[in-house]
Amino acid sequence: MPNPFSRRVFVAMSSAAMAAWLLLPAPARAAGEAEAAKVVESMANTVLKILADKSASRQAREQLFAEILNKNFDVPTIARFTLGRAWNDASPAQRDGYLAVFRQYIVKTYVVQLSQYSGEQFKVTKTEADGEGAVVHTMVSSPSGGNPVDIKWRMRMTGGAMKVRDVVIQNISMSLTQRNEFASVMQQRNNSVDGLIQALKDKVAELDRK
Amino acid sequence: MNDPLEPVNRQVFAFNIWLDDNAIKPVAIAYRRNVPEFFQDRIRDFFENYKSPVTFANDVLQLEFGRAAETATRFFINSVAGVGGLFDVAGQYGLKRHKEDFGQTLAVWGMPEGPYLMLPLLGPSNPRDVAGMVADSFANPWSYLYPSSVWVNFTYVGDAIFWIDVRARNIENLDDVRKNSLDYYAAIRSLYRQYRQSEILNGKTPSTPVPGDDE
Repeated sequence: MPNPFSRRVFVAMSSAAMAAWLLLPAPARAAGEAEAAKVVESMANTVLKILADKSASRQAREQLFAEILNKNFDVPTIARFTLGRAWNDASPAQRDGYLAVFRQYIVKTYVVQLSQYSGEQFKVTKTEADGEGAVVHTMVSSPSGGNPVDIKWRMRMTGGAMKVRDVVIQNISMSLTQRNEFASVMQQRNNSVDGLIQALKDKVAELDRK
Repeated sequence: MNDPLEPVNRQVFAFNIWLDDNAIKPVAIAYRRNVPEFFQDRIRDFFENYKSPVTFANDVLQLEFGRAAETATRFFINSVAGVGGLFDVAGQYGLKRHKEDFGQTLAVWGMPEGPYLMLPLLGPSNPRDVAGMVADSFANPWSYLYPSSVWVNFTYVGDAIFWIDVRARNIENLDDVRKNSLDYYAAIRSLYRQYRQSEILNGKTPSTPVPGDDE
């Protein structure tokens, strides 16, 4: 038989812990979730506005996307993740070079991907806690019908603002896909980060020509 | 990445791309251009309904009885009110389509996926999904209702139409992946694994690491 006193203490302590867990983090969490949804919503509206302006040149669009990306995405953390273990072995110069070309690559691929969109409807359907941050669920439906596309934005508090760490399209993580792909590129090139940087530069140049 | 056959897989992948560029994709483009969207949707709805007994069997094998009942209800509604499956009437009433196959069932039963495989013509796979594909081809009840020669011809022609329709719905998606990727093969390998994982989890998001969380 356990000692009733210690049991009471245990119950009291665990209730206190429970209360602390339930009461203290919850408002902070909810505020983070609300902010995450706001960030995604305003970002989507800006993107849709840019896409609606068919007269804008590609350079102008890329400039605008780069601004959105830098403001709302935690690009350094995503870049480090997509490089995987190779990040630890990379020299400071390699890290800087990689980060710079990764930024360009992301902007170009987004412009290519988004340029075919027009008149899409964007809706935040749900926001939930996700680890130390929040995940914002959105649906993008095209005016021509077809199944709506499910896009989730995984966000974390970074430098006082909610920033995107991963975009999950139809349950496929973009960050993970890139990490897997980049690992393969390095493997094909003697496990060299420089090889990957060169491949990214070539791809950026190729996308520029199109 | 569990891909010990990568050199061979890459060669098969190159062959598949060649086949796609020169035969499958042009046919899919012509199909999309010439077949009115209304008929494209009827073709898809018909084949999805026709293949749904396989989903039903796998719902049951996974002990997902609620989902099995959903599949059965959809099948009856669409076969009757949807004129032999040409219209997805049940879907319009909120009973959404889901798909199961024996590859997913084996995963639910705990079988690991095994090494990545690139099959000629059929595309990305693994031993678990190959076993599933073979089992499913025997599971289709229609094969037991027709004389085998009629059945075999219908299967080939039907499958060809069904897959052209699927390909036609993914022209831009695949073009984008190919255009944007540094290593198309590796990108498809990652996409296939994540896609199957999501199907196995019945559409729930597989847990993937969030950049920065492990630091």
